[in-house]
Amino acid sequence: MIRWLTTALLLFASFARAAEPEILDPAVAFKFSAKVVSDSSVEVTYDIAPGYYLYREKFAFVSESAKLGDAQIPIGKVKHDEFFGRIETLRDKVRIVIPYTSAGNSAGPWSLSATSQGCADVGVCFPPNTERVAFKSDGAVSVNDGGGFAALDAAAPSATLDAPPVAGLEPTASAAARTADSNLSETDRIAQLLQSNNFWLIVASFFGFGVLLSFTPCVLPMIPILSGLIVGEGENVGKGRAFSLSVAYVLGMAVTYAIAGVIAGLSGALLSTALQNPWVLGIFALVFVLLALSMFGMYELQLPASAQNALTTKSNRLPGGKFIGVTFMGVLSALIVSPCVAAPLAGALVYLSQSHDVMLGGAALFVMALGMGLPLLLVGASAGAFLPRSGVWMESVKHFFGVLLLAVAIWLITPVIPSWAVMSLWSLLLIGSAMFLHAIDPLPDHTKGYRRLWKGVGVASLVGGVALLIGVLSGAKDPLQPLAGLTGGGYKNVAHESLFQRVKSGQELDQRLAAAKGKYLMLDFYADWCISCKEMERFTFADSKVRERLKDVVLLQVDVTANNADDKALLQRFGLFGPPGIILFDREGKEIRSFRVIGYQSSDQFIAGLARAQS
Amino acid sequence: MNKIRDRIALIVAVLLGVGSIYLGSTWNREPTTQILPADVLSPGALYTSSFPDLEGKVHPLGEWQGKIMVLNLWATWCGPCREEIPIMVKLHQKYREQGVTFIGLAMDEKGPVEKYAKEMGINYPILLGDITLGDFGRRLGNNSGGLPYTVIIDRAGKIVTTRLGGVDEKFLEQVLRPLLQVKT
Repeated sequence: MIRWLTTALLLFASFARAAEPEILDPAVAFKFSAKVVSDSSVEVTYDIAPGYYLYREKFAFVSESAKLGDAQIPIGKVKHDEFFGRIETLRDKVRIVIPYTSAGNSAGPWSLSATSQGCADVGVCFPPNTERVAFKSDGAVSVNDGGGFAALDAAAPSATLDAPPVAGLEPTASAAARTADSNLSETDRIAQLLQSNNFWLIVASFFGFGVLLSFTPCVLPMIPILSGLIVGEGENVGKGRAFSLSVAYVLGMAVTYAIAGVIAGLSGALLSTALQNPWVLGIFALVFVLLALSMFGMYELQLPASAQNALTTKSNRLPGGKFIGVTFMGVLSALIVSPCVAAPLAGALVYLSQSHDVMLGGAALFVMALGMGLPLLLVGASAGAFLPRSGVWMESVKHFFGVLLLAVAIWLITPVIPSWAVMSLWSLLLIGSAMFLHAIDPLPDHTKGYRRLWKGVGVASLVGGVALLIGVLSGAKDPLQPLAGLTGGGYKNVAHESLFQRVKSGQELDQRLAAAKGKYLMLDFYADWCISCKEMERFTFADSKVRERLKDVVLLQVDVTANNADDKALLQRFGLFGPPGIILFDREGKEIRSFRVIGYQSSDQFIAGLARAQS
Repeated sequence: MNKIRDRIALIVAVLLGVGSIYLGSTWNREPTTQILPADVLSPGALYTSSFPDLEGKVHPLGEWQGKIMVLNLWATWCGPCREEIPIMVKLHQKYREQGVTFIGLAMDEKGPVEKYAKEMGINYPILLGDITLGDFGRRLGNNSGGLPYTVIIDRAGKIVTTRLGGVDEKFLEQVLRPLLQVKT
């Protein structure tokens, strides 16, 4: 459950980061590479992102050390520009063959400067950009970009990548920020998808996330509400009617979310900050506890009878009658249930708010709610036939979801309460569930298999809960290793402390970045409650291969457990909601965005990512 | 009868959904604030930034301190930039008496800029940017370095709004009007 929520959160967190500029970095939009095709010609390639183009007239190729022939530039598409008249534009992949004859000593090294200029369809143009390529006598090619840019076509037999940048050539303005496609991390790929501004793709993705969210307990409280509404129709409610009632309900819900999306589009990042506030988190957690209590049968989740009656009679008098009422219930339910999806929703809203696109915000959240409503529509379509018949086992299912809801409540407030409190709560939850599973009640003879199984689960949960409790009492801080203090062993963050140095503020980070010029620098966001941070520490950073690889990297860490103003500012600076987050800076002190590690990575994955980023 | 009413209600619900999205889309043109980089130019740094004009005389932006500045990063080779110049000329004329100044910061060479400015009758200061303009733009929130890029700065030197890509008259009016209310 926790793992799932974490994944969902991370997924959405990646949207938030997607929001920066909608315009690609020119180095990504116009990817440049060069190779030798024969002893008298070279080929330069521009791999142009969809929605971007280069002007055919604006290419310029210059070499100081070789004599260049006429570049063979493909014919472009003619565009009638309102200011420049007839102009040819090139899209997709542009290959330009340039004949050359070396001046003087034939096989010596020589270099080429390739200038290009282009624009994006959305109405943004980039300054002319010059790439410098060095060709060595053995056919090796290097593009001076300061690293991170795999410019070579691997298929070219005569060309090998020459990693170190060519000395003495001044880097182009955009060079340091360069990223090759293959270097993009998985999260950034999603980010890029969203950056691509493909409206329908984004909307479709949000529908998918809605469907995923419908598998969380969040949608659960809606099922009894809706089935109550349908059943309230009377005994012989038709399938068609039941279905259209569900549609009305889901639409009510979807409109509410659409409004949230529109507000997000208008409000900027304010909303997300509000959602990270301890008080808001606390209130959400409380709502969850209340929902859980209802699952345990402490009370029935419905409006007071009088209010319900008033609502029904009123809505019946309105044109549309029942449907308006049901739609309104959908609106209400969305409001009641939204805290449950708060974490992923926060991510989605931040993304949408930074996109400044109100239309997109509304549409995306509207379809997300439709996705969430899918199971509800199924309930409606079956006219309640899919609804489980009540019985003892139904009670168990409800209890199970009650436990899940309580777990969500704990998870929500974990960032804002001390770790001993987190551990105590988990311990209470585990022990409480164990009691419900009859962990210590004697089993009658001839008990069926599954009851024994459940008792087993109950006992396991009891032991886990007791261990946590002992951990709290013995001063342990790590929910994953509650007994570390007792056994005398445990990791005690040995590997970790010797690796990373702590920084406290953005200012300090800037100083360290300035001091680390010429070296790679890694910044790790850490908190006591962050499970995957601990996993990274315990497994990945403890690995000697990783430590060897990080030998020459300046390693810094921010502990955001306290979540004070400095911590928040730092998180915000990197567009993170919280740990985990590992950020790599290049030798110039600029972030290598393709690297970002969000979530646990094994040492092999980590080393591979690092190698790609530093290549 | 009831059935028909139900159908109508359903249609109304669908229309409501679609309508709210449509309404949303029309609000889209309202000015928005962008998240600026951590090393965003402070008012002090902004006012000490200086660029040469077409005669080669260097002007620190502090010359316009106390005015509302509409800083437009542009170039003659940039089609979308040319498109919005007439709007800037018009609005500079309209608001210059009220303490607003447009400033065209050209990432370009002197020759073409001079010719184009004359042709279009540009009535606001034109400054020339050099290679450092890329970093200047980035510290105003323009990560990709694309043009046109427009930054609106209040009387206190605080960046109010930035926009990558073309701006229209409505957008500029919407940003400027509330700023004009604030007197210092």
